[in-house]
Amino acid sequence: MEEYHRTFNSKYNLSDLRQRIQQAEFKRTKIRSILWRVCLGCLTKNAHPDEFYRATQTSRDHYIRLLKAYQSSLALITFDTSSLSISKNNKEKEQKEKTVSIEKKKEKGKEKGKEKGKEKGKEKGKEKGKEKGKEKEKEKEKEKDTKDLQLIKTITLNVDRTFPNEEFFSSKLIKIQMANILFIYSKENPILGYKQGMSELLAPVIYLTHKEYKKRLGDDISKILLDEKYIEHDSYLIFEHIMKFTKILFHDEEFIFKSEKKNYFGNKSIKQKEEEENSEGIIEICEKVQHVFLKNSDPELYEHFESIKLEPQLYSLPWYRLLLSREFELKDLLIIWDYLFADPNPLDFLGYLIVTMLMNIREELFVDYTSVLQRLFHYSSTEEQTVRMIGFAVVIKTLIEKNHSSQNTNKSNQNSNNNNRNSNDNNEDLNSLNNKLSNKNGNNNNNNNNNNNNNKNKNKNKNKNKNNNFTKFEKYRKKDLNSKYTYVSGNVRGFFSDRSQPTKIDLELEQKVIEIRELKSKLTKMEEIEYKLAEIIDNAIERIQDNCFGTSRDNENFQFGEDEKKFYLSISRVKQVKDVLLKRLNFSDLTEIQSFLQTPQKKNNNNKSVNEKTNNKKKESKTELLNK
Amino acid sequence: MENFKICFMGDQSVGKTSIINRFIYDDFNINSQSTVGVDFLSKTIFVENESVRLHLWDTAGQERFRCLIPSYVRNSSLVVIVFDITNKTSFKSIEFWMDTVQNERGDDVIVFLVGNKTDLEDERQVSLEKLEKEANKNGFLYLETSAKTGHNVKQLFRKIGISILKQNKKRKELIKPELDENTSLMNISLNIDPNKLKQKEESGCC
Repeated sequence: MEEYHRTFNSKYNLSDLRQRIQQAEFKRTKIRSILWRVCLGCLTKNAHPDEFYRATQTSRDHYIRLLKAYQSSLALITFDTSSLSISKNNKEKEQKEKTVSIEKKKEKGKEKGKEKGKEKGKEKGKEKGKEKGKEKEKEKEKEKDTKDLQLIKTITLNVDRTFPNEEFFSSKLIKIQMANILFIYSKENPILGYKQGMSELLAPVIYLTHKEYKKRLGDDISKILLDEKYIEHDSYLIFEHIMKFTKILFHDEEFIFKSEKKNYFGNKSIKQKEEEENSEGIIEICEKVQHVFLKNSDPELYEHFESIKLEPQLYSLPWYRLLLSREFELKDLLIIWDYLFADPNPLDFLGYLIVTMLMNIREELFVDYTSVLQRLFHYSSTEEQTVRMIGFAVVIKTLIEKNHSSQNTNKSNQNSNNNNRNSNDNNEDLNSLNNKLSNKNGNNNNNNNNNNNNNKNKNKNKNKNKNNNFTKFEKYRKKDLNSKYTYVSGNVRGFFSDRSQPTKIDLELEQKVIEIRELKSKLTKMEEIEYKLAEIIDNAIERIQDNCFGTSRDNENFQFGEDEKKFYLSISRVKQVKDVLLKRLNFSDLTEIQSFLQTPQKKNNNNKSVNEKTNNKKKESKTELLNK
Repeated sequence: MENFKICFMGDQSVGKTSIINRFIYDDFNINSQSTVGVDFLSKTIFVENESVRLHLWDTAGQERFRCLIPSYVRNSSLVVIVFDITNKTSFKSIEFWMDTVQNERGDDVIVFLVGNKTDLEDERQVSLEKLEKEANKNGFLYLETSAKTGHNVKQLFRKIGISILKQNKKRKELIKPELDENTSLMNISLNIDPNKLKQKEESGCC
């Protein structure tokens, strides 16, 4: 749980964490399920363990209550081969009893007492109802029962069909857990109900909790936050929070259709009209991908899509709805979801990701309608590509967000490319890179000749004469990046007509920029380390010198044994520093003994000049080593 | 070679995807993933010495989106409405799907009714007579299939191919006489405006 403490230390704050996740810091995290919960807002903002515990406990208690409330219906969930039928009452009863007992076993210990109390209450309620003996009520109950049974049928059918190729999901226990969660969710959200695709959103969650909870360590935090007993409870919590922002993707008019089955094609009621307005939500989202995001990142591809009349919802609706869960391998998907959930606007981020998915295979997409659809409906990518795509999506995102913020301060000057340079500090890295690129070629780019050059570059790109056209390429890259700024800064339409198409090289460049940023921060860290090492070596050498030249013996407080100890320790210190520089030792392992060597620094005024020299020499040699 | 768009509709888990998979890959998977939104596959078949390219649009059974369905049904040459013979409600829903199609296309489209899962004869809830009645009432073609065993699946697509070609020929015949008149006119007098001719041709094609 070292990772937990490192993440949720005193400096912790949520927006930092979100950023760090999107900077790929948690790719191999072992506390992903906790990170998800934090990012999705399942846990409190305060990262104190007690607060986390309390939030977890309340959500678990809530789920336990739900389990009890729907006990009788949940008992009908079964994955036996014999199909459910309404007429065979006896069988149902048997099944009820069976699964009730299973449920009971699940909720061992604590809840037993409560459960019994509630059951009794329920039974009493039922008896009263029977006593009244009103046929209408009975009919209503029957209707409810059959509706529930149908819901269960639908859910079990779909759970059975979830990731049929993954062995993990063939386990009966997991199927029942998934069905429980889905049933309770649909009952708790009756307007939405169960929709196809929900099981695929739940599946990765269950997969993750099972894997992570079973690998947990024995310390206090994981005992509580990753308690195996509560896999189902916590999965429900995560799923519920995912649905909070994906709900909008599932809205349709099914529930109206059900309630007005007989005259659904009569006059359109207000309800229906409202619903039509509502249902535009997902269509709008899908269209935004093509008409805004794609148009401005890859206008050529956009034009092609327009010319073949490709409707964006055809390919992007399933991608959106399932949060790409069918397009990627499960292990890659978890990383993608990290990024999604870490984003304050997950659906926007998904949009950027979809654009990068399209651009990733853009060369294959300049074909006719049929072939495009066939390619897009069976999307696949390698792990390497996935990682790159995520990186690029982050770049698009950061560019857009940064420029949004700069937009407010710098509205008037955003029209020309060059103004981006002075617009804000955030873009410094990229801009300085741009400048370097253009300076290399001795070129100051103007908008006017960019046009021509880009057109040339376009053709040359197509001809793949990449090596021969290096200088122009550089310029092309620069232009491309700048155009992105301008789009992002608000000139959405019209500006991009003169923009050449981005290619895979673009993706690479954008990624390099991120890498440079990361490397820079690494470099400053290394410089710090270097300075400290120099200090240590300095002190050690002082001690050694003291000992060799006998200066310390003149001291009144001279203690032979103590000083000799320090002498040998100093030599070992020097060796340690050497080991650090040769990367045989971690820097962090050094710090423990450091304190003892700091004392002599105070008394030595005589040797300062000597020290400085040695210091400098050491520094030089160190930087050389580091450079190596 | 001409392309034809065929749209598959029907309640969820009646076997739309399975029928298509049987046809294209000759494969069957009991637990195939549920379709979300729409899926798309295409295959070329040979019917009556002609090759026909079928674009199969596999819609999601649960999709009742008013604004999505039109985009699926638009330009379809033929709609296949599938139901499950072991599931009465899926048979009753035929009406809904029919209305959806006709709302978009009127009577302009061929409709095929398909009762799937004949391998589950024991659990049958909808008789062949009922299907026959329903189909004759509306003048639809009908067939019973089993994607699991492959029963009648090839025949289904053969029939689809035949009826599409028939309809296509009818359309062409409707256009041809006009063209003939024009060409004969052309022979008589050279004063005919070629633009008008073009216009006629275009309107005929559309």
